[in-house]
Amino acid sequence: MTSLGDTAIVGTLYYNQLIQDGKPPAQTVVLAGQFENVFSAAGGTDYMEWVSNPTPSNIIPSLTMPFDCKLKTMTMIFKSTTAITIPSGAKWKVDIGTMSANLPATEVNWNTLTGGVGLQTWDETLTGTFPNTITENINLNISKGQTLGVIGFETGSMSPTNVEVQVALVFEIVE
Amino acid sequence: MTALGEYAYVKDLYFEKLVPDYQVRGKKIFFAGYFNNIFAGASNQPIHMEWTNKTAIGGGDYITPLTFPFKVRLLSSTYCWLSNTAMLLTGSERADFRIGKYVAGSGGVGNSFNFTAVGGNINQFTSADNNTFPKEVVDNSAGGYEFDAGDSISIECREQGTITPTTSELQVGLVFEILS
Repeated sequence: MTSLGDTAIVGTLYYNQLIQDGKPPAQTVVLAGQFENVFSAAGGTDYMEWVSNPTPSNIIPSLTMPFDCKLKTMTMIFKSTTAITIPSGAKWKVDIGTMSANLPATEVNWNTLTGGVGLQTWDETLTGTFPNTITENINLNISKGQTLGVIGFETGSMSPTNVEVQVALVFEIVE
Repeated sequence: MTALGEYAYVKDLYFEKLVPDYQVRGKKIFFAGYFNNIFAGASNQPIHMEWTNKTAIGGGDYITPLTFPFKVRLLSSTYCWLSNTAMLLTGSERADFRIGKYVAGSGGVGNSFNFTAVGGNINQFTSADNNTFPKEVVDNSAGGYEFDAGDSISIECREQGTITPTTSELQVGLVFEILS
């Protein structure tokens, strides 16, 4: 910290007093996504669509992030007129990952950011319900330029298969 | 204004006091958008980005605007090529991306001639991108891409030449700063 000359100094204002180095208040952005016809894909994987699905069905809808940020919260809600059926032992894990540079946005080029743990998992405890779930305090660091894809991994056979899951992802911008 | 340390200070003209510049910067908002079958059209035929779903009008001479409820400026944009095949463009072939707004005219919103661009290209693919799978961030903060509350904003791509494949998509991210 040196001059005020032109208008520059480091610190923050508190009751109009310059006190010490400050941090800007965190900004958050919310992005919505959707799993369309969830639980219908062969092989038990579904890709979340940020806007819509790519023409090649093996391509993961992938969004390149424009700033450093933290994934803070994720919500998911089951959109169906029929309650979800999750047999004993079946589960659905939703995970987030990054795509490898200069390669097709396919599953082999997707790399989990959670060590494979996932962000949320629906299991048999939710059978017969209309899940509406939230995961908070995720605090997953994401760098500017990383390209994100969200995948649902189904183990077992869940139903119905012609319904959707709406997703919301809350990111805190790191400045 | 000279940045010292982590944050620069600017003069708050209302109170005539120095405040951290982050206190007078607008809040950021982030949108995802999508070009469906982006290079399916003829050379120089515009295609407009979908804000919500690829089943909306698109892939032809249509404008697909979103009306903003506040004054904004574009800060940055991101692009991710969604295809099994690398983007192929050579020589003078290119794709120009512009941001603009719908201005009422003949043919209504469905007519791409009612698109008025603001500023220059926000991004461009050229032969330098040939045989790649672009995933990139573009800083647009100095481009002067400002819009008033009530403006209906659309993103246009014009392909020059014949870029392939023609059955692939482009995922877009747009960061705006709210100005008022």
